[in-house]
Amino acid sequence: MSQSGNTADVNQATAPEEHSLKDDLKDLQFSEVYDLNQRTIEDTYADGPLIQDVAPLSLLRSEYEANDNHVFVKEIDWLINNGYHDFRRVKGDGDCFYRAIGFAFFTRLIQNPDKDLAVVTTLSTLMATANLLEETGIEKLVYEDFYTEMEALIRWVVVPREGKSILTIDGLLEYFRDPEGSNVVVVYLRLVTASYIKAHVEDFENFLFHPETRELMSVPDYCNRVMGLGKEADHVEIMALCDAFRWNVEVAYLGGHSKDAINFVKIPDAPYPGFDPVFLLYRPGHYDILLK
Amino acid sequence: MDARLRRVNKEIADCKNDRTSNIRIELVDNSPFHLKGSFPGPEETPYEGGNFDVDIVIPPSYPFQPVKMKFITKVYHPNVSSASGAICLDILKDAWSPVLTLKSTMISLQSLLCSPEPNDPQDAEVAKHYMTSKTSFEDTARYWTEIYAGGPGSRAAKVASPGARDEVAIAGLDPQHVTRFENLGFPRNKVIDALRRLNYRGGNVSKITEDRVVEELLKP
Repeated sequence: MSQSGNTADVNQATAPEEHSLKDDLKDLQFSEVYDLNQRTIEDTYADGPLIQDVAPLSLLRSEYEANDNHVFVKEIDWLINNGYHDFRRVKGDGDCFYRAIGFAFFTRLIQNPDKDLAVVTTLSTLMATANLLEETGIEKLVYEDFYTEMEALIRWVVVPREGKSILTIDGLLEYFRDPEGSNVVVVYLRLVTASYIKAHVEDFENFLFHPETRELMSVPDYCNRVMGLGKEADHVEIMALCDAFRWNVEVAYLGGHSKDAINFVKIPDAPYPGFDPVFLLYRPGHYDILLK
Repeated sequence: MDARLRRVNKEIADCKNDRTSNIRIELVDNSPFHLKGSFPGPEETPYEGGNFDVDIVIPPSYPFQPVKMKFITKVYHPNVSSASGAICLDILKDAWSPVLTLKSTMISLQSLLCSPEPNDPQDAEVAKHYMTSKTSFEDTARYWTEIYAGGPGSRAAKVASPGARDEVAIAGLDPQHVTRFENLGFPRNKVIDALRRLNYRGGNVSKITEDRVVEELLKP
């Protein structure tokens, strides 16, 4: 990658004003690295399905190695050495967090050793989320179709559906690759996230920042944004969604946030019983599914 | 199973059953995906007394993507194209979310008529008129409501054919200004066009020289 080479040339050519310019360049370089990472992610997904097949993490490592991105390579090495060998790419369309966590959760449900109990538990949590939507003023007309489909999808883990045998990971993948299917899950998770924030205003109101302007937003403005498709999720949304569904998520944040090893964040701090956590891989502006 | 059809049918029924909102929805060509909505102009606005029809198209990916709406009835408003009826409203674009419905979107259109956003215009000429003289803008908007939306008023009742409509009032201009430049030998419709483009209204009149107007009039 010619990134560092270019910067050195510019520095030499403008030696007299070196000091202040160097600071500017540092910023520029950071945002360039960020943009470059975004472009790499977008290029890899341009024509791909919404969720891709399982790929070894070593593939991602080689992509960053080819780009001379040592920070990411070191962090990926840490993941591989700690047993996270694979990942699934998720399309970077602004819904990657919701699509990734939805898919990863259903995978956990399918893999659960006591599927019947897990499904019953999940159905009762789902019912509670519908009450939450109702209480926060979402019209039934609006959420009932999404709810019904979520319910049918959860049941499908243990009983055949419309002539199709019990849901497998391959069946789940097919379902999620159809936008009509996975967008139902994305929308339902978005509605629940927004309603959970509305119902727990005191916990969240000081942390509702606009992702681009970084300005504090009002609860209704923030929640309207959460409910729209294609709007990237932030940490507040992850916490709200996990609390509403009693999900455990562990997110590996790549990008040099941590001096040693990697920044691996557990949400919530104390895990909910009954379900293994799902793992997500975060690179600036994007989520993928991480697999152990 | 067609999720879109199920949702739209419920929404149409919801509008029919709601007697408080005054939003009406009817099918066009028997298709639930092409509709005509209408609502009364909001009270205490220049649109009061008019009835506004809206063309509604439900896209294949509804409700994930926004419904398409544009005014059928001509509306004089900074956020509505006076030529095409296209609407500039955030929820019809990137602020759409699947919790919005035909009814709530139509109510938002009604609110848009109450509170124009001239800084984010759909029709730049109308927005300039609004910024230059709100009184003159409201007179014009009221006249449009009379002649296009069946609003109250004596003038519209007397109008026998569209040709007899007051083109000067439609353009939101002062008849004296139009006559003045007509007297210089320019055709009336050209004068109206030029003065409208120049926003020759209110405090702007003193800022625009006669030469500037003549220059505009001489443009091919």
